[in-house]
Parts: sequence; C-alpha cells; structure tokens
Amino acid sequence: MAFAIVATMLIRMVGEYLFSQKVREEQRMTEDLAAGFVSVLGDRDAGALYAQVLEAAEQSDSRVIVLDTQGVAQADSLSQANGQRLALQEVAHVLRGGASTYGFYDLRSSSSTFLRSLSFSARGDALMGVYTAPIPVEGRLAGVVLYLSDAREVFDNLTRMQLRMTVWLVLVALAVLTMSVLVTRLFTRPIEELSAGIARMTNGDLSSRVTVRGHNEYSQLAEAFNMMCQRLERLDQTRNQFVSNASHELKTPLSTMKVLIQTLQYQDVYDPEMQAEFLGDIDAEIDRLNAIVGDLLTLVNIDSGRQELKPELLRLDELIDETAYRLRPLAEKRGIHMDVVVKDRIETMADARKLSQVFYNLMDNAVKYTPDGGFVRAEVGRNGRMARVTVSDSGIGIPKADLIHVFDRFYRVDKARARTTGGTGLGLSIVKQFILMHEGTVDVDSEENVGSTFTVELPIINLTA
Amino acid sequence: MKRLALFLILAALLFTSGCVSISLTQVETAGDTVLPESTATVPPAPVGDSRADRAQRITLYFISMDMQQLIPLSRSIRLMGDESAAEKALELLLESTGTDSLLPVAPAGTRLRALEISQGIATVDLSVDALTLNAQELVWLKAAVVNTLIGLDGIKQVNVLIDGKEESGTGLPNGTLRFVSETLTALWAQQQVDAQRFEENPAAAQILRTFTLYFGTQDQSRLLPELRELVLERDPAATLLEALRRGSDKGSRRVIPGSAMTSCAPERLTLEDGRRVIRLSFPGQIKAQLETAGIPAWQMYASLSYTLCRALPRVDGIMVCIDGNPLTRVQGPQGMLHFEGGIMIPAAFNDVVATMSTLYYADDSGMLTPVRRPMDCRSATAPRILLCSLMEAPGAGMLSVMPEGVSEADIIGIRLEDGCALVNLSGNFYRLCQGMSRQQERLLIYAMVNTLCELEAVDRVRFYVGDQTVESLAGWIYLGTELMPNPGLIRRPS
Repeated sequence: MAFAIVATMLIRMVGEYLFSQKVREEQRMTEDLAAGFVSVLGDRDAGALYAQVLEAAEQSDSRVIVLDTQGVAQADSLSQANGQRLALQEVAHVLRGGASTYGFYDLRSSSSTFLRSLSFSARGDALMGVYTAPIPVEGRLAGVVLYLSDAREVFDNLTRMQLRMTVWLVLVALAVLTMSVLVTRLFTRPIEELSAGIARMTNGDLSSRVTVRGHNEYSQLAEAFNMMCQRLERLDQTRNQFVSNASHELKTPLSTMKVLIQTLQYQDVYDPEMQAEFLGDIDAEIDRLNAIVGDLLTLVNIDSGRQELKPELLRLDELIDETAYRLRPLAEKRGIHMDVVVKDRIETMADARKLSQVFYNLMDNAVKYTPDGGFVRAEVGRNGRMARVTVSDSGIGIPKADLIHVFDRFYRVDKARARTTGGTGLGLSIVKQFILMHEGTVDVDSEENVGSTFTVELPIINLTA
Repeated sequence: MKRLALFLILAALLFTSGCVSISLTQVETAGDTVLPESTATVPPAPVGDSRADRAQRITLYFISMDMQQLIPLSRSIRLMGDESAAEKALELLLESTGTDSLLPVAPAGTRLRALEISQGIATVDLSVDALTLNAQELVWLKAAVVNTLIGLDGIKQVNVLIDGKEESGTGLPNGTLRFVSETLTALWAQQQVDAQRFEENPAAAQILRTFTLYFGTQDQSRLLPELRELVLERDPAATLLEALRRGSDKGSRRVIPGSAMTSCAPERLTLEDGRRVIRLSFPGQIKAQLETAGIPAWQMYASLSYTLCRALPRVDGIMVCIDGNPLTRVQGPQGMLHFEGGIMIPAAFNDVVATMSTLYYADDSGMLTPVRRPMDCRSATAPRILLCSLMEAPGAGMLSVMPEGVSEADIIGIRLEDGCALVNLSGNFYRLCQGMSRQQERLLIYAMVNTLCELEAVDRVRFYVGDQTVESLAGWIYLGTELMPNPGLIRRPS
C-alpha cells in the first residue's frame, strides 16, 4: 500500500513537473514574442506585424494572434480572427494589467463555436493551450500576444511517459511482491511446520517430528523441538512403563496375597503349619507392598517438589561407616566382606537422612547382587571441591545395554532375580533424585561377572570455609 | 485471498495514477468572460471630409556658408487640414533667407508653382525667379529641393523644373534626381566633367541619367510616369523617343507604336518668338497606326510632351508634324485639345498624369484581390474617392464587397486624424449590411480598411454608423476599435 502511494505520488509529481516545465517554456516563448512585437506595433506597420506573426507561427507550429487593448485581433497567422474580439480569461487578465498567463481548453467538450474557431490544426485538436503576454510600448500596454499551441501533443507525450512509468512500477511492484512472497515463505514455512508439529503433539502424537532444511536458526529450533519431542516421547513411554510397572508391582503382591488368602479360606483341612507359613508370606507381601508404596510416595514427593532438603553439618565418612555397620551382619551371613575406606574425612552440609538412604540403597544393592564370598567396598575421599564416595562390589555386574537404564524407575535388569531379592525397582531412582537434589552426580560402571562400581560425587558445602 | 486483494488494489492504484487525469488541465469555459472596456477617448464621428491638423517633423536642406555642402535642418511643422508636407516643406525652403551659418537655396521671390507626386516621383515646378541663379547655384538649388522632398509623402525621386521646363547650367539634362549625398563641390565638378566628356565624344562618354517616361494607363485615360535609366547619346531627345517606342517595363500601355514610321529624328528648332521646340515629323499613316495599335492619339502626344519637355533642357514645347503639317488639335479624353501654334506643352493636357491607387475587391475564394487603378494625383489621396471606387463595378473575376444599393451619400464623413481614418457611415449603410455572413462582413470591412490604409497618412480605420460608435455591422467584426489592415486576407499573385 505504501509502495502504491509513493508510486502514485511519484508519477504525479513527475508528470506535473514535466507539464509545468513545458508550460513555462511556452510562456517564455510568448513573452519573447511580445517583446519582438513592440516596435512594429508601435510603428503600426501592419505588413511587418503580419510577417512577424506568420514567421513566429511557422517556427513554433502554432497560431499567433496580436490583439489591441480592446482584445480585438489585429494580426492573425491564419488571418481568420482579425476584427474579432477574443473574450478569453487569459486576455482579460492581461488587459487588466496582469502579467503573462495561460490556460487550457478542451475543445471536445466545448460547445462554443467561438472556441472552436480558435483551433488551428487540421486535426481539429482537442486540447488547446492558450498563452497571453502584454506588449508594452513606451511603458503602456499597447496590445496582447495570444499564442495558441497544441496541448494534445504535450498531454499525449505526458500520458505515454506516465504510462511507461506505471508499467515499470507495476513490474517492479510485481517483482517485489514475488520476492517478498518467496522470502516470506522461506521464513514462515519452517514456522508453519513447527506450528503443525506442535499441533500434532498437542493432539497426542509425540512421535511426530519436524523436518526443516538448512543450517539456520529455524533448523536449530526444529532440531530442539525434535529433541524435545523425543524426550517427551521417551518420558511418556517411561511414564507408561512406570505406570505399567507400578501397577504390576502393586498388583503382584495383592495377587499373591489373594491366592494365599483364598487357599486358606478354602482349605478343606485346617493345617496350622501351612496357615502360619501362608500368613507369614502374606505379611511379607504386605511389607513389600508397603515398601513399594513408600518409595512411590517418596518419588512423587520429589517430582512434585514437596521433598525438601534439610541440610545439616555431617561427617560423610561417619555416615558411610554407620551404613556399613547396619549391613555388615547381613553381608557376613553370606561370607561377603564389607569394607569402608576413608581417604579423607569430609564434613559437609547435607540432608543426613536422605544421604543415609542413598548409601544404604547402594550398599544394600551391592550386597544383594554379590555372590557369597565376594566383597563390598565403600570409599570416601575428596576430589577437589567435591566429596567422592564409591561403592564397588564383586557382584554379577550389569550388562552394558542396561547401564543407562539402571536409574530408571522400576527398571530391573533381571526381573526374576529382583523379585527374589525383594527390591522395589525404585531404589536407584530414589538414589539419583536425592543426589540431584544435593546438586551432585551418580554414575555406574560395571562388568558382567566382575562387579559394579557406583560413584557418587557431592559438593562439599562447609559454611565455616 | 487477502494478499490477492491487496495486490489487485496496488495494481489498480498504480494504473490509475499513471493516467494523466484531466485534472491536470485547467479546462475552462470561454464565452462568459467580459473584457475591460478601453478608457481611451473616442473621437467624435466626422461629418464631411476633413483632415486633422498635425505636427510633422521635416528636414530642410540649406547651403553651408563655405558653399561646400548641404546642411540639414530639422524642424517640426504644423500641417493644417489637407496641407501636404512636401508642399509645406518646399514653401519653407524657398521662403527662407538662411541663417548666420546657412545660405538660402533660392533667390528671393522664388515660389512653388506646382507639385505633382505620382508613383513616388515628385515633379516640382518653381517660378522663373529661380532662373536668376547661375549654373552652379542652380545645381545647388536642385540638390536642396531633392533632399528636402525625399521621404515626404512617399517621394523617392524628384524632377525639378523651372517654369515648367528642365533647366541645366551645363546643357546636359539632369534627369530625375535621387538623394544627393556628395558635397556640392563634388556634385558640380561631376556635372562639369559629364558635360565636357559628352561634348567631346557622346558615345564614349556613356553618361547615365534617370529619366521619367510617361506611358499610358490600362484604361487609356491617363499617363503614368515610369523611371528609366538611359545612356545619353548624341541627341538626348532621340534617346528618349526611342525609349518611349520600346514601351513600358512595368506593364503600362505603350503610347507610341513600335513601327519604323515612328522612328523619327527629333529636330531642335528656335521659333521666331525665341521659343525652343523639338519637332517630330511623322507620316500621315501614323493616325491609322495609332488606331490599329489602339493608342489614343492625344496619349502619344501627351507622352511626348511630358517626357521631352520635362527631361530636356531649354525645351519650351514639342511640335508634332504629320505629313509636314504641325498638329494644332487633337481629341482628348474630355474634349478637344488645342495647341497654339502647334506647340504642345504638358500644361495643355489638363493634368493628365495619374498615379496608381490600390483598391481591394473580393474574389470567389473569399480573399481580397488588390486592383491597381489609375487616378489623378489629387483623387488618389482622397479617402472618399477611394471608398466610392469600391462601390463601382469591379473588374472581371471579382466581386463587389459593398452591399447592394450603397452610394456615396452613405459616407457621411471621413476624417484623417493621427494616422487613423474615421469613417462615418449612414444608417442606410448599416441596414443594408444586416444579414451578411461572417465572410461577407469580413471582406467588406477589410476591403475598406486595406484600401484606406494604402494612403501614406493612414495606418488604421475606425468606423461609425450615424455619428455613433457601433459594435458591429452584421455581428461578426468588432467595430468598437481602430482596425489595422489584414494583409493575410490579400490574395498574392502566384
């Protein structure tokens, strides 16, 4: 729109400029003619006046008329208007003392025979330019020069020029429009694709991806979007897996309990030993269920942000020692050697309860998955500004493919074995979350049938430092 | 869709802006404009013919005290009525007794007897008082007269006569004179040298002179002067006669048949009373010759008389003898002409010299055709006579511009004032013009204007009707102003 306005103004301004230039040129010519007529009009030499008028008209391909102070034509290059009083506004203006002036007449729309009689071209030109200038003789007005020119040619030329300009501007506008459409498409298409992808995702299709070619910000955005989709999809899958696993883990003890209870219920012959055994199993299942629910609640609280750290100054090495003390009887029962190596005594601000659960889970897992006669070792040391605790064992190890999943919720490397060892499948998830809450890291390195090493690094926060 | 709509709007805007709208043109309506009226005073309508008094600047030429050159003296004179500037200037020149530094050109008492102006040639006739001048002084007098007259009333060349005759101190004819630019001393010296050379050997001398020859008008009613440059031979009279026999170079009618019988040798005679005449003897068949040639006899004799008497010094008249007998009378255009003693002098032919006036008639193409008509010198400068001539039947192929039924009485008055001819027409004239077409009125008005503006003293015309100014006769040509001639309406000879 702005372009159209500017183009319109430009064409109009150019047209008006050229038009006014032409008008000024003809006005100057008229004034020059008037100056040339001064002496012959002063001498009242009709022959010389006519000759001059004729020459002027021939040179400029126009019609020239000299009027007296009453507006009566005294010399006319066509010798037709002599004796006629030419009542034109431009003539009246000069006769009233005005300077040279001009006007245009459209003979097509005029019904005046007087006007049409002034036309001088055989073509019967429609547009006539009328220019007048005073002829002063000895300081007083002695006559008026009337110069009639064919304005049609001027307007035709002007129209042609403006049409050419218009065509060029339209072409330019088209080109600009096309370019802008292309460029816009270049910029908006990726955004449209992204929007479509978001819409699909909103509708639940987390598997959709966006394809954006190039190496610009849009492709980077698309890549980030795809990664986000991938993560969301994985999270969704994980969630679904989690829900599935949680359901299964919750349903399993319930099912077991139901079977046991139904067996007891429909026992034909009362067997107190079997009853005691079954009740013991039910109790174990209840404990298991309770543990699962407890762990689930812990994770839910962590996820919802309701779990808060309660940091207090503690000795990490003492915490590890205490945890090892609790598990040593279980380990020794199976001939597993439990060892704690304190390289550095580390005092830090941390949540003792949560860290206690972290190291208990790690060392408990180490004992569970180490065959009889193996070893479990916990080392505490400083690694720069971080406290490093490693729990290594000589257990069955974790396959390489499962290493990245061991911290996932309900993930079991060996589901059958996990069940017999009594785990909930949430222990390592809780470990990871608690360590993350402390702004630490936990990593695992393992080799099947050799053993596993879990490394926990925590920032040493010492308020007195 | 929105984009498409925007695009279409853009294209439409550009396209329409490319058209030169009619708003660029200041289209005006004409015909409603009122022009301011002139505040100049309009002279009253004339009744009768008159000419306004006027001032004119003239230059009189006097002789310097050392008699070496002519000294111009400009002065403004007041001309009353029909007074001629040329006549007035001559009168002043002849009357003048000079000043402390200037000598008079003519002896006291010298007066102007007559002044004839025709075709730009002035023939001045001074009184015999001028004969008291010696030969050199006579040359000075002629030079002063010529220079004073040239430029006035359309005069281009001058014949100076004394008592109707050419006088020359050297015996050689001076001819028709142009403006003298050389000093008086040089002029006189040249005259003497010419005379001497001519006397020693006329053929070898090759003396060139411009003479005024007189030929017939087309209507054979008058004579028209015509300048001719001739080489003087032993007998200047024979030279002039031969030039007349050859005929006019400007389309005038011949006045002497070109046959051998007109080739006679002029004889110079001195009569008993002392008058010097040139005798031309022709055979009796000359009359039949003249009739065959369609030349009126009087015209031949008048031409010979005017040409020879005005050109040759010391010639009081001519004598035409037919079969040895002097001709004493001939039928003239207005009655019988008598020649006392058979001596023909120009004065005997009653102002037969004419001048050509230009009248404008219309042709069938809607243009004006100029028609040259001979008129006596006085009538040729009379505006009324010129307008009345337009009322006469035009020649073949031409149409009268005057409305049917107009007469001289419809011209109430004409007055020449400050270069403008004020023409007062009657109410009858106006009435007869009603219903005229644009072309008819245009031709009528400009025939009158162009004709009157042929007069030296007129360069524009204003019309009145019944003593009042009117806007127009028939509604086409505006008469509330002074009209200049329209040269573009004149058909030029192809």
